[in-house]
Amino acid sequence: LASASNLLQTLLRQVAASGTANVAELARQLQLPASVVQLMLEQLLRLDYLQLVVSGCATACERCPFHAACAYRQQARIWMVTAKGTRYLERQ
Amino acid sequence: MPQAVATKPAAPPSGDGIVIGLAGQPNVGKSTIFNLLTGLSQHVGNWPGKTVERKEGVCKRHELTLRLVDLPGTYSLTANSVEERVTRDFILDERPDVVILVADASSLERNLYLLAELLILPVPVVLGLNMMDVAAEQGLQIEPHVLQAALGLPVVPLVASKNQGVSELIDAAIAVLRDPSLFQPARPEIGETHRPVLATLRAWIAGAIPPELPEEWVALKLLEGDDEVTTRARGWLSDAVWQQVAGLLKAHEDAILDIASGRYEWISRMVRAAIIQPPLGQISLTDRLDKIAVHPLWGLLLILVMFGVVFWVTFEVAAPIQNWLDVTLIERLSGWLKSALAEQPPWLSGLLADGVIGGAGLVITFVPILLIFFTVLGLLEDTGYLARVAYVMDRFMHLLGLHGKSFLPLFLGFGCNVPAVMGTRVIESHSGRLLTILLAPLVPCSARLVVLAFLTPVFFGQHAMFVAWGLVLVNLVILAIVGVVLNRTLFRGQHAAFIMELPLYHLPNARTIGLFVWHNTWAFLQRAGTLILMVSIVVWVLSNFPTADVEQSYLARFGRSLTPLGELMGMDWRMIVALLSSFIAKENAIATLGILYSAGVEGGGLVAALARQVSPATALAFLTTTMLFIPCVATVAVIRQETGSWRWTLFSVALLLAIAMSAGIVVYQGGRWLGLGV
Repeated sequence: LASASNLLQTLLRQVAASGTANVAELARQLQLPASVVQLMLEQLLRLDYLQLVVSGCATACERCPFHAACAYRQQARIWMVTAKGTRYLERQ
Repeated sequence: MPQAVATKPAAPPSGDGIVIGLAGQPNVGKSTIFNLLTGLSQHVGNWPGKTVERKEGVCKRHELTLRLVDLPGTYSLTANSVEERVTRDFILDERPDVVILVADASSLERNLYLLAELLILPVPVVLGLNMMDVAAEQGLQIEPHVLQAALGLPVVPLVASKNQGVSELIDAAIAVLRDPSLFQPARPEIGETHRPVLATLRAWIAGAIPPELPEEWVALKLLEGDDEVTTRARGWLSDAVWQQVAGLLKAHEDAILDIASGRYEWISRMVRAAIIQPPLGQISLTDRLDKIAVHPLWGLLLILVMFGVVFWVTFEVAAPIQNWLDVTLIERLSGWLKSALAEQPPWLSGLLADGVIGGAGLVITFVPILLIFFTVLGLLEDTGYLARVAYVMDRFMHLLGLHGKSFLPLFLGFGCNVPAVMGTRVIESHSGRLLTILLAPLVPCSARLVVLAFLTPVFFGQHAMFVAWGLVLVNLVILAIVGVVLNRTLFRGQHAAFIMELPLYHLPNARTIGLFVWHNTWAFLQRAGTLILMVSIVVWVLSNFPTADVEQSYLARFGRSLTPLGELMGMDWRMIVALLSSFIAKENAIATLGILYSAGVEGGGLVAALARQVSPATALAFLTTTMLFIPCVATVAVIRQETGSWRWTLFSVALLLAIAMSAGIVVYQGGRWLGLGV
């Protein structure tokens, strides 16, 4: 189990380092239940260290003439590290 | 060091003044328990100064009269909402004798965070694990006695909806009142880094804060950055002390991560202790499937296999139907029209029979291909697999040094390049966005895939699946190469990190897939009735004037002016014109081929005509060029709109033309070298 003192920092670092990760993979790396990692991601989101990239075309699609015919509706929620998160990691 | 604060001494369990707060997240069954315990003795009002409903009731148990207060449902106690503020103010100001936290056993982790926050308040807590039946249905096996030992407080399993365990819950609360030693909680700890900071803060605020508030709790909330406590502390502390406190808080503005980390570590320990078996069924099935589906190598291979399957099903099922429609319906309709209009001017029957039916009508015969193609794609998406494709492709792109956030819009490009270009708005950096816009047209859109699905069986028969599969692969490889080159030359590579919550695999829903197929097919039919029909008419007119001999037509003269370039790719003027007509809409390539290659040919439909007149090397070069050619006019218009620059729009067009022509030349010359030029 990662050190209790920096679980969220470790998670943020994993996200920043791995390029692309999924929740199950991060949970394995941190040796934590996936459900707890999910909660941690939500906390990092609330604290502005992560941002939710709203499903791909959500904003663009509103004005897209082919919206109804779009073949790929994103199902997955996707997060990325914010400028605040990046600054925090750089300070550590 | 535990984040402990002194709890209120246990109230004598004999009087009428025993107050029990009922806390919990929304929808955990708190109100059901409250109703069962208080019955008709409820009183409903508002919390002072708030619009939030306050429900109180009396419960008589073991000759005790207990006053129960149903607290608003909250996810945490951080004072972000009125409900959260009401709950924590009630505990701090009214100091109930005990708080019962009702938790959803099927979502224990979420509820334990609230418990972690409750345990730093000065009140004994009893945990009620509601919805044990739901948890069991989900395959969760929770051991309440183990959780009780790990938490150091009473834990009672219950199913409130069936009135099971509710009496035991209130008995546990009374037991804690009678014997305070039952509440010896194992509280979350904060990291070593911030323990001295917490101690310093506590020392600075000691004696300055209202006596009803625990110093430890106030210090902790200040360190967490709690807005309400921070605002109030400004008034409690002298200017000199506040300056010190503010300076310390500024230096440790990220302390919340340390504090919350302690809570998550604590939650993980509790979950491991209490849940003796991992979730079964769907979740573990998802995990097992994902070991392959999101694996860097196997995942990529699986994508290629899946593309192969999509094409295989399309060719095996839909292509023969399309061919039958072409030979029977289109040819018969065309023949009937010519007979019916025999008395009319020849140009009219030619326009309707060869132009409209032979062009736009032919495109309508795609419908079986579309139905199968979109059904298979819809199935893949609705099962949750396409999200895995996005995940694997994103990681693949990172390996190639591409912008990570590019994958979202690029992935949309498989549906249509227009939303792909518009979707680049999610990329903040200008250079990253521009790079993605330039790459988006290289993603084979559904229109191009349909053209591919139609033409590969025509040219390559039983080998069609492998050819189509290879062409999609070539597109993606070229996309990757162009991305790497542009990223290292015109743009500086930027690294964006992502986390993706992959959905569970599930059985597809027939209605969802039906709607998906319908929307796509209808959109296609609308295009066929407008853009494709219009282009078909223009192509027929230009190919039949000034004389009926297509080889002497305006279109032939124009097409022949491009012959030197076409010859390098093995294409005659008709194929060059078909390629150019795809600029209006990709399906026009087929309509144009239908008009130009069927002219003067009787029987067998377009399939036979093309098979007779086009060599495999030329066919391969034509398909390769079509897949990489400049996108449709709608996409180019959106590129202009999104880049705000004609220069970049023209650069995009020139880049794609250069790539498509180069690839066409390489493929044709390579095909000839391999003996496929005949």
